[in-house]
Amino acid sequence: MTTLFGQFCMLLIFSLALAAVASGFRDDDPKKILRGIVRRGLMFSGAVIAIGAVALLLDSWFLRP
Amino acid sequence: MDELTPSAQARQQIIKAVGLSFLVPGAGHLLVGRQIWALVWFLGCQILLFGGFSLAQATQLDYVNFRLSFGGFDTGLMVLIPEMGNFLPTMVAGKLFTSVDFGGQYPELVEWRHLGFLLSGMSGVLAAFAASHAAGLVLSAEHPLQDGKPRINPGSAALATLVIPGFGHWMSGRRFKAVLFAVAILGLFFLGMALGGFADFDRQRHPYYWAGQMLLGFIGWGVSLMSHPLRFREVLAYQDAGLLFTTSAGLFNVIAALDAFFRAEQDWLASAGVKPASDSSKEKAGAKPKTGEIPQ
Repeated sequence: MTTLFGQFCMLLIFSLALAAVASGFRDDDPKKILRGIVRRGLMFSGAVIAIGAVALLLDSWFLRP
Repeated sequence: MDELTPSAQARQQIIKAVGLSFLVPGAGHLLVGRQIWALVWFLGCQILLFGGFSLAQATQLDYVNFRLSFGGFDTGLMVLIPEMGNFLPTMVAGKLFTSVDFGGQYPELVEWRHLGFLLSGMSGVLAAFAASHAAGLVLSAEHPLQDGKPRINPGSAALATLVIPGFGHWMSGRRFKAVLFAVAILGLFFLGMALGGFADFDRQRHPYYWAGQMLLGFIGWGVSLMSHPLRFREVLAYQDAGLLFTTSAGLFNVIAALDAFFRAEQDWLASAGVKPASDSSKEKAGAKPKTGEIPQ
């Protein structure tokens, strides 16, 4: 059984890994890469959480029979 | 910093080498007269492919996603990922072999099937990297080094990523990026394997995910061999996330390899005395017009 906290941790880990790879690909300077990891990680996880929130809202209101 | 680009002639040769390598691994190396490398890549990939097909009794063909036929005529062309990185030989193998599954035999009874899948999959991934190796050799032949600094060939940098993610960056002197890629990619892969009880590197269970996992390279292949006897005994809480993590790690490794190639190529071109495109255009703009020539 999964928990909301567990799912959140999975999202955070995946977002960080994705951000690390994307930032490493985009930049060559370590400082820029580190800043990029934080920015891209937050952006990606924020976007997923926002989409999840919209889906939850639609589920509890519009799509419920 | 402005990007350095190879000369137009070098780019044309690189495209030819990559195209030929995708058709038959090693063919691209012949363009630059590297016969030994051509033979090594060709034989290596074909031994893996045909050895893999023999060991798995061609049950790889159960995973063909698409066959190209016109009006009932089978062209023999098929989509089989990742084997088709070694394109023409895979098409030949598809014609020569018939899966024992089609004869009514249970594929589970094929003893060495897992190893066979692994070997034929490796041939496809290695063949794709043979193309990058050929591209690197073409680049070095077209733009020889001039400053005497030791530089890693871009093709070798990409290939090193297949050994350990980030190793190509390490060899080109980018220690921070090397550690970053290794931690991000291997961390994601091993966490994913742990979440799936080390049983989710399985072609029969997840053929599409397996193709992505194969891109992790030698470490992934080794883990696959060692974890082969493990099977799912229960539904694990985060096994779906684990599957996503392991496959994503493989795909991320391709991004790391592309970056290793690009950065090593930039270093190489700088050492070969290639100027940024903007510099050469400035030089042209600043050049005095010849007598009778109207400045643009």
